[in-house]
Amino acid sequence: MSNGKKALRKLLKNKLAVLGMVVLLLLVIVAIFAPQVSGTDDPNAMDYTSTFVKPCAEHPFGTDDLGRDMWARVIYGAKYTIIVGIFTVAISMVLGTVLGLLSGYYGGTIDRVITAAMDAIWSLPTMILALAITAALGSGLRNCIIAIGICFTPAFARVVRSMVMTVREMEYVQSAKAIGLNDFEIIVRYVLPNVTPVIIVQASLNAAQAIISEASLSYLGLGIQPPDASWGYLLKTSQQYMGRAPWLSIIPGLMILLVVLALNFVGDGLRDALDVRLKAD
Amino acid sequence: MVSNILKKLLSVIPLLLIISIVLFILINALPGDATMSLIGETADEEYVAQLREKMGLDKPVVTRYFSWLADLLRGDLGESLVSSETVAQKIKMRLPITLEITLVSMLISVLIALPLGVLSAVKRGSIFDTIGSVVSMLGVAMPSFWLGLLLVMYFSVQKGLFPASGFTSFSQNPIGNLRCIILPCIAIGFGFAATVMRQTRSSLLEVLQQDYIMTAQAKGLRSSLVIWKHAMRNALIPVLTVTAMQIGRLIGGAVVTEAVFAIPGMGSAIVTSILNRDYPVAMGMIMVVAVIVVLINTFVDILYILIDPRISVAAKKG
Repeated sequence: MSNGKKALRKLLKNKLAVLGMVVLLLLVIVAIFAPQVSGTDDPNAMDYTSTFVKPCAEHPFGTDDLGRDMWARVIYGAKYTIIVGIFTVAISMVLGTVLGLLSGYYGGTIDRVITAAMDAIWSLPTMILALAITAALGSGLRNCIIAIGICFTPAFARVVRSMVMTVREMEYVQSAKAIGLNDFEIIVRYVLPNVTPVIIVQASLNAAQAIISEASLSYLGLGIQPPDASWGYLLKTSQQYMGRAPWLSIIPGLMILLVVLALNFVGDGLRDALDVRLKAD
Repeated sequence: MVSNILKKLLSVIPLLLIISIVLFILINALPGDATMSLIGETADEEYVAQLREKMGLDKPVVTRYFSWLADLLRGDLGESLVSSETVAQKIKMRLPITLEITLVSMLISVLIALPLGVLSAVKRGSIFDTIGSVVSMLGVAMPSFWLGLLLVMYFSVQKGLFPASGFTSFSQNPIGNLRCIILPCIAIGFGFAATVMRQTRSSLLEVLQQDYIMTAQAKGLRSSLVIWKHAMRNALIPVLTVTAMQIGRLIGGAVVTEAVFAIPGMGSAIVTSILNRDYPVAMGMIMVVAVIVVLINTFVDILYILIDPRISVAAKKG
């Protein structure tokens, strides 16, 4: 794995990428130890005696209209951001990789059908398609993750397909065929390792977009349902108190911005380190 | 060239058909059917059966798809389940608003992106280049609706310069119209500006390295003339394409940002209809937006072929 080591060394030299990784690591730690970090087991606990408290020592991020501690709510929200990032990418990565492998490796009718379907999905703006799928499935965090996962499937399918088409013609694949390996063995042993770098880079950049999409859907009231609150949902409820409590609108948005920036830095760093060019860019 | 254009035009038909099938499958994937959302789950069976027949839900799926498609082609998108308006009427009122917002957002993003892109390419490593890369990083990472919230907070709530929500049409009051849409358009346009700026910078950098630019400089032409007249002419082609091909993304951004500002466009109507389970309106509007995006993209592809005949359809695909 000297290639992998070389890539890792290159990645670690990229300051922005390292910064991004640190932020993501912190996010994971905060999400795992949410009760300890926030100092409460219940981020939804209300306290009518202290509504709209400005950020202070006791409430670093202030409190909302129901006296809920924003620090706790933001920290518990980190969990949803991670869930959204991981599961949307998992859905689109698995679906997209399988479809891309099939259409790139076999070509012909399979390729035409898959490509046509992917083109159709890709031609629609992400938000429009996500809304259509959410309309069909109903709102809620799970459906919202499925919807976004489907939206990003073509991104993976396309890059994997084009990589496979190149790899397929390589001599070592041809000779593997000649010595009688079956298609599955060839794909797993020779094709998949070649497309892995592309998939990794695509995954990190798509996770960032997925988090923005979830925030948008939750802001519109179609994502996560109360009393649970992702950062996007916190923004939805904050809007009506904007004049009185601006911190409610600023902090969750900053958190989204921070995580998305971190993912983009890591994604760009990985792209340079693994020397990947993305077709879907 | 003509055959390329024809190919492009013909490829729209299967694409739109597939999109219509996808959307139709989505409508029919609803748990229960539309009657349930219309009358609730406690209604008596006879009434449900009657309603299903009236709505054509008792027929096989394939038949329903083709009659839906036939209606669609005639411009009949059905009726709202909630209000008495037809879907077509709703779209007629709301589409122009969304299109106006999309166009103005695009204008704003180009106004930010072009000068910044040129400056950061020409003065590489300068303060402009730094500002440019910060703008492009933030533009990509910032949810446009959140930028909208921040703009409202500062310019409407604190300074009282612009209305925080609501809408005045252009024909009623052009100035009032502009005041309503300027903040949402900045919110939508900012993220887009990042893309356009990046493209401007990289394509101008590429052009500036070419021989004819060196020749022009060697002739002793003023550098501003070289940049704006000689270099920009070629550098702009990819910029224009990227700009136009991303109109779909702008419309998508408009959909969410409209909700922040309570602007009665397609986006807020789609969201409201989904929340009200008014599926004919939601799907009809989504289909119309999809058709518009596909048509615009095709138009841009054709324009691209006309500008640069060397580009074949196959080479550009992907």
